[in-house]
Amino acid sequence: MPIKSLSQSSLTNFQKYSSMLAGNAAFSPSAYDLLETQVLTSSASSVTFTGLGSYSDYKHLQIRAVCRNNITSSGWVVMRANADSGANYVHGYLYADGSSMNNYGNTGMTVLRVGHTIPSDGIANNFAPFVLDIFDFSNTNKYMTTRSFEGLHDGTGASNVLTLNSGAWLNTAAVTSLTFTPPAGNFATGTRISIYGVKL
Amino acid sequence: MTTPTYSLIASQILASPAASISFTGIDQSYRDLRLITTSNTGTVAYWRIRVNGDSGSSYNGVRMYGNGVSAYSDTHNSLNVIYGYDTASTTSVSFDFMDYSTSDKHKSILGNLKVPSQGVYGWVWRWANTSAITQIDVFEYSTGNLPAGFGVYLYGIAG
Repeated sequence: MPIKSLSQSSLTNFQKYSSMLAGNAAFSPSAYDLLETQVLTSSASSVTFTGLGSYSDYKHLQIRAVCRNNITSSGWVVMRANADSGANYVHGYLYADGSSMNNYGNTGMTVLRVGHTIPSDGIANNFAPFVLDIFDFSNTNKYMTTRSFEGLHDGTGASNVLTLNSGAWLNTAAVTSLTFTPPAGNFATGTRISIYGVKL
Repeated sequence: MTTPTYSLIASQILASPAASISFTGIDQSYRDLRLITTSNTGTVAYWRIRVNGDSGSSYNGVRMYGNGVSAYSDTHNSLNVIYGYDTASTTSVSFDFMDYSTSDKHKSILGNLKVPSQGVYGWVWRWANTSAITQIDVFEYSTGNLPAGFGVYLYGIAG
């Protein structure tokens, strides 16, 4: 018979709770959330995330990616914030090539270097990973600063490389878009770039 | 709507010495995996990693190292393991297995390892296989066991 009404007097062992969470596991909001991800099903000249202003309840961003090129050119994956193509980026990094290590610094750059790609003549099915942290991306009192760790083992189309990078965008505007571009040509099918929000 | 991520899939801290710690039947619903080890056992044992039980010459890596005084880089081709470290030291080690559940990519792995007063290592590895990673083994590479207290944590990162 369907229940059409329910009263307290019809319940046994009745106990009233003031919280709807009673009897349930404690609610613990996540501090690290997937915001968006793009996996290319065809080659693309760039990957852009827009509308990042809607994620201002996060303090930092993290980008996780694996990248490949559709032409034989190898080199850096670069990033721009808010489509700024001015000479407003600085970059310092440790660069290991599998036999030696060096360190470099660049100022007045029009892009920020964050990762590498495997070129089309590299080992088949090989993609170069990078993990990039972007700090205080929505804070209008600070420059956006970055750290990335990335590399590749190929030795066929691309030279082996492993780098640890720091960078900054010399602008205090809140970051509302990020654009990633391969060194030349297009990102190849299968390239994946994901963006995460980090709370503190 | 955001997607909560970064979940502990499995962990194991050895209560007694054992030859290996294995995670099998790894959940395929995440994008990346992160493996973290903890050690400060005082007992020297050298641990290594293999995936899917592959003991062939499938692992290729580039390393960087620095200790504040000197630095170097080297390349390792066609190894039958991914390098770990020893279990005696206080170390912080993490390995990120990128796109581990795909079947159209070699698996790239970013690792870093910090040993107080000794230095910092960075790694990029390539497992030359397109199979999805379903198993990760952390094992003692010489003749002994991993000591009690050695721990491994495996996290999934959605994407």
